[in-house]
Amino acid sequence: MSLLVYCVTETSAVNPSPHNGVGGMAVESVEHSGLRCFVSESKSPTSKEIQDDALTFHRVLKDIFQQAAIIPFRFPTTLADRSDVIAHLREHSEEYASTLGRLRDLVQMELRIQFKEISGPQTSANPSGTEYLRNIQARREKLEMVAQELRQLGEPAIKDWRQRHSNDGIRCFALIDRTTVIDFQRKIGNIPVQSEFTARLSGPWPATQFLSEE
Amino acid sequence: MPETPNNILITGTDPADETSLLDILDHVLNAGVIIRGNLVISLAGVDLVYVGLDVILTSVETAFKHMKVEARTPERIK
Repeated sequence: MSLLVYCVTETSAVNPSPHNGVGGMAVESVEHSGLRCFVSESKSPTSKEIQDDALTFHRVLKDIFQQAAIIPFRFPTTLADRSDVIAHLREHSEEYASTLGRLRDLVQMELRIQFKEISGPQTSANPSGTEYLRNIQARREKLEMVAQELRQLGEPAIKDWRQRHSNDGIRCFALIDRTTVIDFQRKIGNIPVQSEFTARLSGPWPATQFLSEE
Repeated sequence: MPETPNNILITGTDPADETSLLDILDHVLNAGVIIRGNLVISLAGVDLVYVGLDVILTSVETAFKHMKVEARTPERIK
């Protein structure tokens, strides 16, 4: 039976999840090169079970992430057997060890900023192509300004920051120390944003947007 | 009359909260290491095999990105 892989951690001081994994399977670990990969036997989900399975997967990740930095796999990533897991760890050991060392005490907070009006104010009923693109550009610039303001107000807790535009606004990722999450939430939660925007802070998440160094 | 500013909504990672549920599914399906592989999904007792699952099981946002890339490709060829 193939193995569903959850995440990779440093070997030291991480206990397995106290909960069962996806499909009620026991979560086990495979160790190699100072790394530990958490796995469970994989079953074939039905379409109805996929959401529940994804949430179970998240719960296992959360249990482990509460103890240490993790490099998660996307659900549902499977490998054939334990030897495949070891081969994967061997192949990526240097990269994974370096990343986990860099992110050891850090977590990712995500800030989503959107306009309240989805389409935005139009300058005319049927804007020309140029007008439409200018409108989009103006909205993007406004979102970037709000993001920059929030970033400045969130400093010095923010160790690194990445952002990208999405279909519905801008997504900002702040890398902060694990011990400062509550203070960060409190600080960001007290910042007023202009009434034309909505903003939402979620986390702490594993630092997936910071796995590669830019 | 000017509208009053909003405060930023704070959500955690608890699936009991509907907003968090969407975030969780987005993170679980779209963030992290990808190893391409196969998975069998059964529907009404029939096994349906999908290959390249990272494309099939994804958020609408990511799917749209892929669709836009594919849609633009023929234009570039012309």
